[in-house]
Amino acid sequence: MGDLKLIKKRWRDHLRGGSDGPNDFSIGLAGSFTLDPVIPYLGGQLLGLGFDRPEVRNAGYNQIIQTCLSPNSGFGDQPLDLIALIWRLEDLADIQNIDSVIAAIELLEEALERLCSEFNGAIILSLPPRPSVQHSVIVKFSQPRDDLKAWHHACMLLMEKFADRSRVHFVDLEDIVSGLGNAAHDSRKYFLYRQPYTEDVYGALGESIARIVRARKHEPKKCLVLDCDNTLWGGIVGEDGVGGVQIGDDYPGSVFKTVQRQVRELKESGVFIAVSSKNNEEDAFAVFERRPEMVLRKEDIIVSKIDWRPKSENMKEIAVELNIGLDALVFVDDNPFEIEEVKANAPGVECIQVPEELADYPAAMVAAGKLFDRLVITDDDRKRVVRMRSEKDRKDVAQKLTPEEFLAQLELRVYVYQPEAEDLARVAQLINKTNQFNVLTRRHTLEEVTEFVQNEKNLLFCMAVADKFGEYGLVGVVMLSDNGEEWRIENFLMSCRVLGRGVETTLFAHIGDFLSSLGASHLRGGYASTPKNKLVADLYERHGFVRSSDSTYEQTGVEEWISPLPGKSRIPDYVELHSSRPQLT
Amino acid sequence: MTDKLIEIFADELMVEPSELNEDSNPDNTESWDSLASMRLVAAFEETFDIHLSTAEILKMRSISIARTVLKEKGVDV
Repeated sequence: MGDLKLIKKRWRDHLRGGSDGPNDFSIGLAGSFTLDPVIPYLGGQLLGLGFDRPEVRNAGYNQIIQTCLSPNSGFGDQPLDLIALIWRLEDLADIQNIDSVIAAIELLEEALERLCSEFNGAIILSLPPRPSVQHSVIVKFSQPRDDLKAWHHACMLLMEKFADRSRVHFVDLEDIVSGLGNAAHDSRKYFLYRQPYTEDVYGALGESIARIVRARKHEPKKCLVLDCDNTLWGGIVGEDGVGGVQIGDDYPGSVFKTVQRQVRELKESGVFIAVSSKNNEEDAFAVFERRPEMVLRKEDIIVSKIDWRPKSENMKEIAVELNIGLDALVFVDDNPFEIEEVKANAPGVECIQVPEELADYPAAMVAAGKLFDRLVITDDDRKRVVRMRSEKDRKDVAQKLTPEEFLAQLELRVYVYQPEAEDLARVAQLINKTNQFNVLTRRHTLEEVTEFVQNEKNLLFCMAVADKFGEYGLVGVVMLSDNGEEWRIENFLMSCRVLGRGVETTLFAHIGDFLSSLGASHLRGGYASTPKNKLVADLYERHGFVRSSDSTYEQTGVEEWISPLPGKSRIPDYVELHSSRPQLT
Repeated sequence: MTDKLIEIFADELMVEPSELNEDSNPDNTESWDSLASMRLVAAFEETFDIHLSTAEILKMRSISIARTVLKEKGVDV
């Protein structure tokens, strides 16, 4: 396990470095078995995610219930960002006795409720691994073991009770342990140190927790770009012909079919699927059209670049067409040359080579899929792919008309409204992934957004946009705070999908009127320059703001702008403004 | 030049190699607790590609004994 060694070493080197300063992420662990070995792996993973001073504290052996009841006590009273509770059923109850299990689970459930109300960070809860048989049982083939019934009961109950809470995330220990098989257990360690698992399990557990942390704070990848020959199917269509390429239910076609199913699942959860292949376009598409074994259809591919140019150029064009950064692309190819060329000339693209051992390919795709992790898949994600298609229809109209004629034809409807609870997941998602049209680039978790909205001194407006081709959904967020007569913009961001339609002007106009009606005299805004947000450098100026020499933002490097209210922005003629939430269609 | 085995012990016990000698054992080394023993076993097995039995693990209650046990398993330390 070379990787595990490296991760562990990264953590130890960090500890030796002894850098001072506040921690930038603190995790508290509580387990029903020894969790110390997970610390270097989790810590190393957090360093790999870009945290400078992560910290992992352990409440000690079997402190789960205590940790729930007073979340800070076991961790030296330092505030924590996340608490992970990792437990096994056999440590909490007598698993041969279903009543004992029910009692233990009820206690755990109560303790968890308490934790949810006492602690406002994120919570990770393990689903327990299936109990292992440590005693000799005469297997009753007619009846499953009682401990298995108890285990199912415990898992079901916790999932039903806690699955829909945005702050509670699950780590499936059974998945980790069964995935490793014999490599998960070490009976020497168990009998000598009461420690049931091998380093591999601790490494995988560290990775699972780190993935949740990453998904909470970092931007997920957005587009999967696939080569065709020997990546989507076996063989080379230009040489083997449409009928000759391998895809289907027998090896090696079965491997490619499995991979295509995985790709389709990603597409269904909102990932863009693109193709970049050195081929004749009609040859490649003929496989999609004429081979019934293909799982992926032509409609699943949002952009295709089938030509003979360097693939790095394809990557750049795909990014531009989808309006996303190069660093939102994941590229899969069987050819090491192509991988190197893209790495060299399209930096930021995550490159994955099809493994030489073809049977390992689906596992590599599972790993690639992790890069798209999001904690909450919103309806917007699912609709996005459909929406991108209508985006293309819109562009076709655009080519034939002047800009004003085009906009007038769109029948734009803009909805500006204060969010309902069910909008907040999408609001947080937009806050965390928008890079270009984002004046302050302040990231917030779902809990932080919820807290913001609950404060009476704040206002949060969502913007949804629709036109005659379809809905764009919730695409803009403005966060405002009341500082007496003057209100201040705490976040202002918009998806680039709705650029060039005057919707931001509509938004400014509406906010201006709204704040005026509350009696406010001025609106202050800030711009913090990043490598990606040049697009909005002149946003305030375009909307009648003037530079202010004050520095009121806690953030450094913020250029401040101010405008009297209601301000100079007017709703464009071609926009129909609604100050309500759009009706779901 | 540091001794390879002392280096592993220093790493896992999180002390400087200079604080250790052949007689270092769980009673005279504060950080050598059962968790450290577990980490040491993992480190020996990883570094030297060997498998230690429970009897061997229990026997290794000082650096010099650990050295003897490892030598018996053909490790050059």
